[in-house]
Amino acid sequence: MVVEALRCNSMASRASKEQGSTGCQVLIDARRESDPVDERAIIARCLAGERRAYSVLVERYKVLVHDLVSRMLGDTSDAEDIAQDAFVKAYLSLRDFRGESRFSTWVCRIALNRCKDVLRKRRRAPWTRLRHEEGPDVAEVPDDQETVVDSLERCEREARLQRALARLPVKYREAVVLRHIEGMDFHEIGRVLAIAAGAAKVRAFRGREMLRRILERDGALR
Amino acid sequence: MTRFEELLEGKVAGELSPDENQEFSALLVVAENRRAFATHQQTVALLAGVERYVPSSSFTEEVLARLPDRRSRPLRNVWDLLWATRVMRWNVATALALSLVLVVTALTWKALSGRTPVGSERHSIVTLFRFSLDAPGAQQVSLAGDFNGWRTDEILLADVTGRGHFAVTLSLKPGRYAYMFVVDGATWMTDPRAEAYRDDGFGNKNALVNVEVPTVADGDT
Amino acid sequence: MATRRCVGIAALVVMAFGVPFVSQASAQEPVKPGELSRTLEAANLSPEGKALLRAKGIEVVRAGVAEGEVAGLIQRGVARGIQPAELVSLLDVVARAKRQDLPVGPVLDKVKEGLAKRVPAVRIAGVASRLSGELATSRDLVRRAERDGIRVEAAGERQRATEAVADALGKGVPPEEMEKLSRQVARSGARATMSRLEVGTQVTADLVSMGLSPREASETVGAALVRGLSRRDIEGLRERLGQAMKRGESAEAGATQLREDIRSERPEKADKLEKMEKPEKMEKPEKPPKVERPGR
Repeated sequence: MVVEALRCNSMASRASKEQGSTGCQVLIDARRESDPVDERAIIARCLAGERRAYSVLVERYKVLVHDLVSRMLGDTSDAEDIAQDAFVKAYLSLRDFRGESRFSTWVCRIALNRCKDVLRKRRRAPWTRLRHEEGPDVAEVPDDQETVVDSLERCEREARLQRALARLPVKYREAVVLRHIEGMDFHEIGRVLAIAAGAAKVRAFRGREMLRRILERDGALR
Repeated sequence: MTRFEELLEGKVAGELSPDENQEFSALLVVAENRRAFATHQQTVALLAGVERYVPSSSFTEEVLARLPDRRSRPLRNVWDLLWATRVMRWNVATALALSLVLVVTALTWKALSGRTPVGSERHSIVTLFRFSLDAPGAQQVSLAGDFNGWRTDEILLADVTGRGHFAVTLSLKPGRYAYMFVVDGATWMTDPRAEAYRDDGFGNKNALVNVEVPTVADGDT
Repeated sequence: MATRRCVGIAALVVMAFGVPFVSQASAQEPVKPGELSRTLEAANLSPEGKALLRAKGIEVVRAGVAEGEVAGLIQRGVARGIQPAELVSLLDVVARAKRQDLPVGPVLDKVKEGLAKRVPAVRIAGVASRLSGELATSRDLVRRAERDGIRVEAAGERQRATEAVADALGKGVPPEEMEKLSRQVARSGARATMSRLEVGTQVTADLVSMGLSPREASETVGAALVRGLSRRDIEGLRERLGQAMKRGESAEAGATQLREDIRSERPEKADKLEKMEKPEKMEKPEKPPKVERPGR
């Protein structure tokens, strides 16, 4: 545990300092700035054979997808591969994308389905240990003001939270992650999960309740 | 969801109307509701405070490298040929005859797939499973179990590194199998890494491996 | 024109009836006549011993056990030095199980296991007989489960469920707990399937292996069944309990918490749950849900 606590993610918090948070806030949400018309134009160029045009969409949503996959699987060792799989699959299916929703909704849905395949395979493989038990790796944050103790505490908190998330049933985990970490509203969550916004609300609520109980038992919440 | 839970969710999201805010405040007189609200707020704050996991700087390039090239013209022609709309002439007699073929084939297939002779129930799907045992000093380690009729000289594990770590990968058909290792042809050992065991009735502990039928649509039954 | 048409239709009809015959021929197992005889000829036994085993072997084959299996058992027993009379008692156990219409695979496996582990034949016969008894009890239980409304949806499910229940009985789960589990499955409406009984039983037996009492194990699985948890989630109970025990909790404490967690999960409507839990093949193109344009 101590070894993992020393390694925390380096890049995410740089942009967030201005927000005056505890130092662990999310990046500026690229999704909110994307224009559906712009996305349709990019997709049209991809379908015309301009492969490099796809890099715009990948750059725009890679953090979202990678973070979502890491949270769902509980570790980052496979997250990059699986996030890449999701983008590749989305590219191969571009012809079927009708452009009525955001591209982020589409690629998140693909990524979540892929995560479920992996989780199912992990469960099916008899008696193998679950890697998410140990929590994901996070790299050291180069922060002049944050002390080593603060850094350790933050990493410990994150690891505990991730372990608790990993204990939620998949349907609650995805709702909680999409809502409270990826910052999606319930309508968008509903589109990603192919459920009504009301059902998404219920799942997020129940997921948070379960999370709260797990964290209380672990002493992370009073 | 109860009314309080609905309002709580709305409050946490910052989406309550003034009337709903008032209603929510009124419900907060109940101590339990206040506690629930406080802990939900705490949980939300905890979640909002996490860092996002950022991929490597080469992520985008790697994705682009995995994308296929634009389909070449000859393949495009084949594709179009396959999917081009066609007009087909037919009559009722031919259609009925074809339907009869399909129905009879389906019924026969169903009837035959239900018949499995004793001692030879088999599926055609396999899963790879790796068995390993640390046995420094052992000359030979074999595997015996339900999947091979408990033959002790059939499945030998290999010590590839020479340091006593013996392993073998088997393809197993779906089912539940009991097994043990046999060291140097004589000593029966239980797999210490198995997470389920069963008494064999002879005073030993068998390890268990459960190989599920891999299905695509693995929804509930 | 008419002739051509008649020939065409006749060809189709012949195909329709020809398919079953072809399939029948290809589905039959290759027959190895005389395997029993060949095994006995090669065996290092007295003529009386061979005659005894031949008579018993034929009897067991006539009961419905594959000749290859019978010959294999005799070969192993002889190689181990087991006396013909003792081998006969082992074959008897197998034949009895077959005559009672029990799944004979597990009984055969147990005899082979005992022979491989060099267990005395008397003890092998005792253990295999006990197993047959458990299979008989479990077969009755499974039949009752079907009468209560649990559906068999695919070939082999009934047999697998019977073996799973027998395994659980062998682990000490009392028949009454198995009946309770079966009733819980039967009451679950659209999910009252034999495969669900099989997985519930297997997980119950596994939880017992992990240290839970049979009652606690069946209560925990029962809670999951009543809540309508999916097959995946029921199988996941093993891992969840394992994680709790790795954290230092006792099996009972872990199971109590598990049940609490399960009861706090509100199951959604079955159709929505199935829609969510049905994964999509990687190869098929992904179709997004129909949505309205975002309001932003």
